Amino acid sequence: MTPWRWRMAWVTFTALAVAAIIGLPWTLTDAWGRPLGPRWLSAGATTLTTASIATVTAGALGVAVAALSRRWFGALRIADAGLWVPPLVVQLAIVASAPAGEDRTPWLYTALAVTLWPGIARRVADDLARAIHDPAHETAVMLGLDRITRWREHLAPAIAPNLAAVLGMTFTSAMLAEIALAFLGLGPSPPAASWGTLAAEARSRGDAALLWATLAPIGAVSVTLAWATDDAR
Amino acid sequence: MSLLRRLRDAAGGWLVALLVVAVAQTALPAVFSTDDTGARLGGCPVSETTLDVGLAWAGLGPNARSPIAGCATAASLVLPRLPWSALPFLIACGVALPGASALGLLGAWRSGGVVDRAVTATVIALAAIPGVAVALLIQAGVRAAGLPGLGAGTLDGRGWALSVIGPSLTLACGLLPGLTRLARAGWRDVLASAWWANARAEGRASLRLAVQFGATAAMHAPVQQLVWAAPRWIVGAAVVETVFGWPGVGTLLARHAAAGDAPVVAFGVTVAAAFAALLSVAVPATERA
Repeated sequence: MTPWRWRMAWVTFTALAVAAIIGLPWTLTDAWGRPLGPRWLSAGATTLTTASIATVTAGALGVAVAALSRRWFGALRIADAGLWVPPLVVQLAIVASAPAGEDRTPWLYTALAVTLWPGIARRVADDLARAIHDPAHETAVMLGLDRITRWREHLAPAIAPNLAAVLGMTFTSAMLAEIALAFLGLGPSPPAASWGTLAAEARSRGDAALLWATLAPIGAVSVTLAWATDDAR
Repeated sequence: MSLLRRLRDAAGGWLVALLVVAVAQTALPAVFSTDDTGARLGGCPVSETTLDVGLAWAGLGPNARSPIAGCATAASLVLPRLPWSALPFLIACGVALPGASALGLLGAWRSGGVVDRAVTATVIALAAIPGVAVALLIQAGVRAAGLPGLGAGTLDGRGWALSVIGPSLTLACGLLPGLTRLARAGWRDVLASAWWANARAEGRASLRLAVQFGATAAMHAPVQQLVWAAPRWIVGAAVVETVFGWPGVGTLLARHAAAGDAPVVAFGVTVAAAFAALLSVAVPATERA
């Protein structure tokens, strides 16, 4: 078989495997006898929405800091310092600051975005430095093109491919971080639930079948996302 | 890089960590809090509650507790648990480093081949599976092997020595993907070096020779990565410690965070930042020596 046929066969196999695993929650019921499937989907929507918002915010912040670092290098030093501090501890500190009885969701967005932007800023700054010293861009500077045109024609296309891959990886990290926080009881406030909340509930009930029916599809989704992102990279 | 610059960076890390907590403690409630009618207080400069929290942090106002007394309380809770958190991490390093070296060499030996792709796909999958799932899988595994799957209740006597196996293996699984990728890159450099080319030309190139002489060069970056990542894995292993009931800093921080006790968590951030700052000064100094 030619390589593309191998690839198609692999993609089909992965899609079927993921679909089969995602079907697991439909085989079980929760504590109240309701099918687990719809609740799993709704929790997934919460997790993926939180991860998306955090990724977009962190991406915007990271690109802004990377651009700022061309004028003030200290901005990258702040990113470096942010990379040193354990992200989960900072996330715990921020989410723990939410006033009791209030919706924790905005705090979750903030906690994830605050810990994810330094990695994006570092990578974008590298790409930006390379693009700025590219002969085509230097020629554009010499020709006197204005800053907006240079960004549109040279810098943005140069950083876009890597940025897309980095955002994909950041999305997976945000998803995993959200699941971890929710598992520790710091996810979105009830009645909203995320995948981590479902896993914590299943574990506290001591129901192994329910626990694995919740976790296996989550693993399938995150592994597929990671492989897709790595391919893009 | 000069020592002065290292110190400046270290101080920067510490300050940023404090700044993050200070912002979370004082400014964010003003943005996200709602009043009695459910309306957002985002437009108001600072809500009364926020002001109280801010003043209490500064050691002022009616709800103030002395910052020194607060720090002492948090320190008495966090610091005794640091060795308990460091123990599984150190064991995990002992497991993950040889594992990463072996997997990296397997991948680099025939770079781009089937084995290389399989190793890469495996480590990507391992990195993408939620830590909760990995921890619970290993917990089920160690229980099936007749070992204790929970640490907190078995720390007396010989119990803790067996209880540490679960958290250590889970941490090793978390460390393995990053280390394997670095080890693979290191091994590729070693196998592409003039030294290895000479050995091949003389017919002496073998797996044994590569392991015997190339390992030091190949594993330099993974070891460095381990040192830098130490604060993240020692102070921030909350999920692993919670699943295994291990009495480390992570369990403590997660419990206090869930209870809304931010000062203890803030102290945890400070400890982690100070730890990272110390490493950023100590590691280059050790390397120069």
